[in-house]
Amino acid sequence: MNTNHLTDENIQDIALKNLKEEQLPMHIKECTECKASLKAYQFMMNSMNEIRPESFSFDVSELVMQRIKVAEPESSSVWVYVLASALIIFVTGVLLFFMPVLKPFFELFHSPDSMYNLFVAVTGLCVFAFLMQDVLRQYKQKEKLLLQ
Amino acid sequence: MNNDSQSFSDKILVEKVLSGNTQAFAIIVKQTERLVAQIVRKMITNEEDQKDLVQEIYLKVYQRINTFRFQSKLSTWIGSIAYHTSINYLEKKKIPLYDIDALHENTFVQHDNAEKKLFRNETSNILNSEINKLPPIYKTLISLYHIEELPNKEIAEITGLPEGTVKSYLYRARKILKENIESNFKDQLI
Repeated sequence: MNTNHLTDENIQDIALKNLKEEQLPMHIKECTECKASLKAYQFMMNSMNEIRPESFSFDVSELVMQRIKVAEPESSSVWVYVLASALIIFVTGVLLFFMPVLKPFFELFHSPDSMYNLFVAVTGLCVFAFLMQDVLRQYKQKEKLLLQ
Repeated sequence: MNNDSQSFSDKILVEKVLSGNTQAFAIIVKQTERLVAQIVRKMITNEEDQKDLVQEIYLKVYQRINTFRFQSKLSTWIGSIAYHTSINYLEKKKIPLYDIDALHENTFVQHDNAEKKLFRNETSNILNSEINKLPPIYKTLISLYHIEELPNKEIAEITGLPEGTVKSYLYRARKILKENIESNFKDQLI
């Protein structure tokens, strides 16, 4: 008799019926040790099929739907428009109020030197792009954490 | 349900949720509750924590459903969120995920309980209690494969582990289970 016992994985594969009848090694039919191990695995796997699936002791739908309703954004309705209008009026008011102070600042950009204007514009754009890219990176990091 | 009709049904449900139909989301919850329970209850034993986690899982699903690309079944995607959220919870609590040594201590401590069950000759109960003594990852894989009857490929998608790793963890988990059952209940069961 071949004394090279089957590996545990092989025996499990046989118990899981991953092997067809003709693929079964002769050894399993002759070796009492491997046969006993196979019998134990078959018994265990058959018993596992009879285990009742897990279920929660609470009503999942009710619990989740309550939470979803709380997390749902409030319907926008009129308040969003009122708030947006108030914000626009406020910003316009502030700009008009500070116009005498801001005027000299804007005059800086009326320099006849177009290279100077270009330099200021490109620098401003670069800083803006850098900040936006950083905001986007942080957002993606948070999104990834949320999905983990 | 075959793959095509499953995918079609997933698409309809997702579209309805995206258009603001919360009842469609309630259907998704009903359809996936069993799979989520299988994962969460195998990993977390405290009921209050289970409640928090289930809410967290489905809230993530609700908020991220617009990112679902139908590359897998919706249930697999939700299972994956449930699995990773549970793993994060265990890691935060510093509970070992694969620790076999902890398993043996656990087996020893709970031996009395198992013996009581043995007298009632409830084979599946004994087996279930032995499964519950396995480390979290192993018991989740065992229940997804043998109780939920999911194929290795789908378990790999849920857990994010390579299919080969899933297979090898399953082999190891079954071996540990068999050894524990043999050492504790051999005369009575086999």
